[in-house]
Amino acid sequence: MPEYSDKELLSIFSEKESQHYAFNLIVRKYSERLYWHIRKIVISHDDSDDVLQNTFLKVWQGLDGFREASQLYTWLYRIATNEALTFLNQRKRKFLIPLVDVERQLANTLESDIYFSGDELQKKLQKAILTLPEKQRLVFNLKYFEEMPYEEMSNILNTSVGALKASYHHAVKKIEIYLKKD
Amino acid sequence: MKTNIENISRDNPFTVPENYFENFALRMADNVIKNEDKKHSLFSLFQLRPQYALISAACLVLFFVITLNIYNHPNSKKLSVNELRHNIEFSIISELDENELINQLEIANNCTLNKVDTLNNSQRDNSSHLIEYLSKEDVDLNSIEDAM
Repeated sequence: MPEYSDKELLSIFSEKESQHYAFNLIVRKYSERLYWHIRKIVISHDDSDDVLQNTFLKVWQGLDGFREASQLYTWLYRIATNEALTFLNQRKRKFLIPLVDVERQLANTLESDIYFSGDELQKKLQKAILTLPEKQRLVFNLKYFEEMPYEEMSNILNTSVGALKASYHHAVKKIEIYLKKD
Repeated sequence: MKTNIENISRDNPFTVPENYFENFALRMADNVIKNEDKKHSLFSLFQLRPQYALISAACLVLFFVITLNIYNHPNSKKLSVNELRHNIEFSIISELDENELINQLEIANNCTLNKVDTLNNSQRDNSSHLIEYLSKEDVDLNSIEDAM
């Protein structure tokens, strides 16, 4: 299957007859990257799958009105991030559990996850990341694992580069303290 | 287990079921079609049977007309404060037993008559006392009139 640029994909999508084809190409191009981004937020594979489906349904519904001024993948990341955070908030509200307990629940999921192949250190790192506030968690994952430049991150999270750098710095400090604890 | 963040592998520790991403694209294509069908099912029903759309619109108009009529009916006009008070008093009175009402009115009437009698008697007593006093003291009535 040919790899099209975002501009080409949007151009194909603009033709009514080829909208489904273009959408399928977008899913194939971005589903993996978005999946890993979502997975690091919601941890469980099944939940990540649900959130990814919702993300692409929102993309399908909004692609007609998408303004090409912003990059397609920035827009996709923004939707995926919102969907993942909304998912966690809904779970909080549904089971009336405080935020700390949601994180504890996610850490338990990590313990029993059959789709986790990391060693003990990696597991400990993931648990340390789960103790961070929401924003710091997002910034740390995007920077540490995906090596995303701060400028791109700034577009996705609607936050200044300076604030993102500060968030990352605080996150690293907290994780190091957590890792040195036992 | 003391460690530094730099010693930890940056490799992705998570995995997915086999062929997950290939299957996901196919599932997503199905989902989008199902979603489209749901969105268009009502619209396409009206397209296939325009009379249904007309009947629905007529029902809607009828509903609004009936609702507006009920709210704007002359009998349902707003009452003034006095009318409202009168209605409340009437409703309270109408709930009372007739005999009980007559008894209560008679008692109230007797009380009023007794009060008037008592007042008249006391006035009469006061006047006689005054005349008796004036005659005893031999007060000159003309001087009183001048003073007044």
